[in-house]
Amino acid sequence: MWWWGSLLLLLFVAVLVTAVAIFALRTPRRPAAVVLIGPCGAGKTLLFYRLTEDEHCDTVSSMQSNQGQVGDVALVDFPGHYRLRGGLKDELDRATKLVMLVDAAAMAAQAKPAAELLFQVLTAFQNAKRPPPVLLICNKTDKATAKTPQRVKLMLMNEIETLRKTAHALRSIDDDDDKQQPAQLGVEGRVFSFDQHSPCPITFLPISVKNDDLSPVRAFVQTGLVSTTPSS
Amino acid sequence: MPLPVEQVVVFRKGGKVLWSRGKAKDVVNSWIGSVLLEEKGGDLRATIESYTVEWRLANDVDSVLVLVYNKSMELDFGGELLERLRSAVRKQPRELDKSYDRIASDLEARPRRVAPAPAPARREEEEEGEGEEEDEEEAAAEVSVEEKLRRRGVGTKGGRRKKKEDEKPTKKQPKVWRDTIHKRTSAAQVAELDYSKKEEASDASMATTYLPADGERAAWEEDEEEKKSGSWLSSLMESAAGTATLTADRVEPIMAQLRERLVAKNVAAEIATEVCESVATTLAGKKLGRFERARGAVKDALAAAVERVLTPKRSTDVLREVLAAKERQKPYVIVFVGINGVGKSTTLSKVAYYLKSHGLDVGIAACDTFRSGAVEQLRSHAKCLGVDLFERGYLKDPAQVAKAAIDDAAKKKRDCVLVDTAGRMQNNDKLMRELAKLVTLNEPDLVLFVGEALVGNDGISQITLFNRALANFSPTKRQIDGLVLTKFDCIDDKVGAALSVTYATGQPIVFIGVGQKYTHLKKLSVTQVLNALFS
Repeated sequence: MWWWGSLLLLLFVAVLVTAVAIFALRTPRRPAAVVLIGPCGAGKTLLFYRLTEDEHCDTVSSMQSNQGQVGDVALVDFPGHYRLRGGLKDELDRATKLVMLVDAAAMAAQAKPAAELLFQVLTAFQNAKRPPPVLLICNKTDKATAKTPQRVKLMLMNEIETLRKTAHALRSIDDDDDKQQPAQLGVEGRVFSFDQHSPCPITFLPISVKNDDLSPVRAFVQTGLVSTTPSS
Repeated sequence: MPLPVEQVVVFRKGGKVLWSRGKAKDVVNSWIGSVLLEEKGGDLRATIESYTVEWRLANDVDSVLVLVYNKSMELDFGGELLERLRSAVRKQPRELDKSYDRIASDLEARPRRVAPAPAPARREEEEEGEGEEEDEEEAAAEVSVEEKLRRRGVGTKGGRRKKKEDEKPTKKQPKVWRDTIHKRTSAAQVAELDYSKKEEASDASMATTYLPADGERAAWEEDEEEKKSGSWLSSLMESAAGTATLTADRVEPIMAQLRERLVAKNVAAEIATEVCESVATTLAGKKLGRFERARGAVKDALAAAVERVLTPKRSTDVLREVLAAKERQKPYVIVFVGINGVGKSTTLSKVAYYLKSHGLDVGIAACDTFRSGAVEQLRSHAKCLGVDLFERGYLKDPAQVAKAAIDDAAKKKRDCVLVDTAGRMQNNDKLMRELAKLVTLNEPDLVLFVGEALVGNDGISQITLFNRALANFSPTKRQIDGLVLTKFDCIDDKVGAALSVTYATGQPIVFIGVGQKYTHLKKLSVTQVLNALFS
């Protein structure tokens, strides 16, 4: 009959739309966001709550990430514990800007894990078309033992220099032998320097997330620029 | 008198503290790292340093409640306090101060409980007598030494207490009972034992328990597909509306299937059970998202948990550690330990080759002074590698040989010393004592346990007992701090041992061996193991 064709078509379209709708709802794409990273105890969660809810709170080690809004920008606080590192890649993929914190007052303990994290990040950004800018917060400047940003930068640089030799020295079992190695950070035979070899701009900012005014951080989260003159 | 409690804290899983009383913050953080993130949360009680930590999860309001007290105390009200606080968190999250004070004063007013706890006989005895002090000491000692065993066998004291006063009794988790450590009891028996569902279980319950109900088909006749499709429609409706909640009943059968799958992939049975139990506690009461199916949610949660367990808790980059030691001008010492015949010497040679090929000066110390031929075997490896071997023949104290080797290496300004030890069974006290002495005397930078990727259930008791023996015989309580899985090329997709050993020890897999050659040394890929386990 003449209307059979159109009925079938209609049915087909309906099924298609439903399928697409279900599929889209089932696998939600991660929306773009500004991502907070850093080793355990660097102060990410406090910064997150200060930025999103303007609230000082006590924190314990995060077991999952926190999501919130700063103005109209989405902010994600990615936990620092090593065991949760598996989700880092997905977060980096959606990051429009990256805020990394280190505890400048405990650099002896934090330099290695922080450098590892930063190394992972910079290596991941190596092949990105538009790598997001990084704000590196040297937190806890209220403490007497806090290192200067210059010192933090130097320590991280030295650690990254070592990691460039060692991190990919041992192949992982799922690497095929003919598969390409991850993009090398820096230039072969040259000492690594943030200013010359980083795939994205990194600004070092000394601040006390607990006590200080956070407007430079807020500005970075919203515009990607840091208003105060960075010390680098 | 005030409650003998160090800290009570309520926090979100994201890390925000909602309310707290008292101070012992680092305890909570190390508890999160070593218990929750390693999926050992099925027991609701653990010992961290000199504290006992008890906890409850309130998944529906995304909160974790933690109670910390000195481990010399054996508090019997911990569970009750947390359960009551949990219902307060659900009802009046803003007035926790008041609620806590009320609960605390209730508990303070009460004399030390002489209650008919529905616990195993040993516990009852303990509470009947007046010699409570003694029992407490005994219990405290037991907590530290037999922690693991106690957790598996006997239920926790506070956690299993019935709370009559609770205005709105919260649903109890079904405890998974086993007659031995391996066998799980059948669903019917579980239901029989589950007193949370039938408060006044009558004696005539036998008939209802064992005889089939009207129209109920025997399990062997039941078609699994049919059962699924019945709930399928309703769960689809719920999920479309976004109102579905995961209950313990709903999680249980799904989890049982996933557990079977883990076991089929060679995860040790008891480990699979523990991980699944722990994940189940984090799921009960959780709301499902729109279009999220219960099965998918449970599977995702389990996969995420397994990923956390497998992901190392610190860097496993040995080369970097050796380079750092080189800067300090002190040889980096790695001791290889393990059962007989798992490939210790071969692994040691591979590591020597790996480090040497990165320009480091490596020395090998032959401390297997027990098995004849061991030194000769190692010498041929050393010759082949072009690396110096330090040996003192047989029948010497391996601890002294290792010390001499390390001193010698320091004199020669070597970067790294690899110490080979005799293979030993975990229950051989004499040899375990020797090994503990070697580790205590020389304070190596890394103690690597070498094991086969082929091990199943027995491998777990091997590694736990090995670890415990080391700790018991050494005054510094030094234990294994890294793992090597050999023969990883022979296991196809039966990668379960990787999960078992990391879960049992909490330590990362530093290397895996994938063949005979010196170059057949790799690092573990967590993604690959996850794919093998879950796809």
